Amino acid sequence: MGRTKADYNWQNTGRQVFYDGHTFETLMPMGFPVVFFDDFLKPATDATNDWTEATEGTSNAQDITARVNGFYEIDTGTAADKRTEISTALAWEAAQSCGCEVKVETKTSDASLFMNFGFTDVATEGAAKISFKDASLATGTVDAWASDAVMFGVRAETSDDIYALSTIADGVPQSTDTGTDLVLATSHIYRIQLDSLGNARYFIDGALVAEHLLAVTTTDDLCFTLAGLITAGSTAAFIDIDYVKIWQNRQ
Amino acid sequence: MGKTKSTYNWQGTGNMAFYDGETYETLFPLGFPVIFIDDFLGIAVDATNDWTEATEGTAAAADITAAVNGVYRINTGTDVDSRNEISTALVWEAAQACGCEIRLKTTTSDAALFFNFGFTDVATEGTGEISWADDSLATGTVDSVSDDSAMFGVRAETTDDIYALSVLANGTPQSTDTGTDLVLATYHIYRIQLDAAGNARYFIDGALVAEHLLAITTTDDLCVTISGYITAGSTAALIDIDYVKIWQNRQ
Repeated sequence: MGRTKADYNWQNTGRQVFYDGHTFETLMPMGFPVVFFDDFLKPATDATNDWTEATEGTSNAQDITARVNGFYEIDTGTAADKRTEISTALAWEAAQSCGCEVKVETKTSDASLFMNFGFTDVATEGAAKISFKDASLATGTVDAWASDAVMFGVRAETSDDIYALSTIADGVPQSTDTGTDLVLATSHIYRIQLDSLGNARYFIDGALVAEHLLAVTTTDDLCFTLAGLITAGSTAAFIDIDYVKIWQNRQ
Repeated sequence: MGKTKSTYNWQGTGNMAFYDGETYETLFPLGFPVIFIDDFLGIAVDATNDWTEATEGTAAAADITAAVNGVYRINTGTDVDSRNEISTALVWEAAQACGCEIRLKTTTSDAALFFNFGFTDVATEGTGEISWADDSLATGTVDSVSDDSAMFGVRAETTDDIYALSVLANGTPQSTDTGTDLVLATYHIYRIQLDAAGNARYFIDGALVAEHLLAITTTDDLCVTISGYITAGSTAALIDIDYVKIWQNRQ
């Protein structure tokens, strides 16, 4: 924790935001009128009214787990290519300069984890699918299931590199190695900020790590999704989400 | 959207608030320790734990509807005098200088809509009743069903004039034409600010439109309710609620 700071034009959003001067956690996006926070501080998640959960496979599980600060834990289960995910409503869009921030870490095992998180236009893709295609991150030539998405992604079986990913209107996706690697039990604060033109800026721990111009259709309704699966073996991977914060201008 | 502004004595409340300099949306009522904000960003409304819903009539419906920003939609249904409403708990009172702000619009049809929204001492009145008596707004001689309430109201079958309404301890109600008309598909930001003496000030889009002195019993427990029905015909009226924000001092 550092000092509480505020900028009137927070990282070029044109909005005032209060943030932690050390961790760069967004404490309060004051200038954005539409704000969603979930710090997972309740006994359990309301999967009827607050979040949509989707689960496949064997021995997987997902819910708030007992831990200081409150964490939502996704256990991918032991079957390969079986996704487990959590999503908000489709209430966000680039035209309103939506942004999202999530603090997340893996634990116990992540050696075969394939994970995407950020904005996408479909909460739950088909069976065994998440927003970006498995294996695509291995070569850097990414391919998406989603028509429109701006996300972070990693496919640990191939590489620990965390990528910034985007796709617009089923076009050719963009991908950028953020320079940050997935390290077990190491949390980072990931943020994606869209502007009203559909440009996406990706931040990790407050540092700009990628920029994709014309990344997403501006008027597509988006949800925030965090989805994961294991691509090989039978060792479950665990994803612990500390919090999710989302904001945008009012339409 | 305008610049983010803050005032230490926000519109005479003596408390600090951050607001949008153009729309006058209350971004964050920082000086009020008790704050309730629902932007309807979830998948659905938790009508067991978060809100009380009451529905009568045919084809009526009320829940979050898929839309950017998240919107709660009340569909009055096609029956005359069958009310639909959503209410908070009875946790607000004028003695704590409670205030509420609601952004809403009508959509599809509102030609026969009668609706009230704001603070009232009873969430659900009797069958076919909402906080204010039907047809009372036609003459300007208002009559209430509730004993204590401070609300906005309109009875579109008679006039599109939006009234500021209040009643204190079942006494003679006060009513003021706000000068703003109900226009289909047109959002406004409605705010009611009570003070510890029970005076009520009514704002639309940041402008003071009415003031009722000694409007309400200061120690009555109040809820925020939005309720409506059609007074004629069989065409359902739809009310889209973008957000509800409520605040007060801590007792």
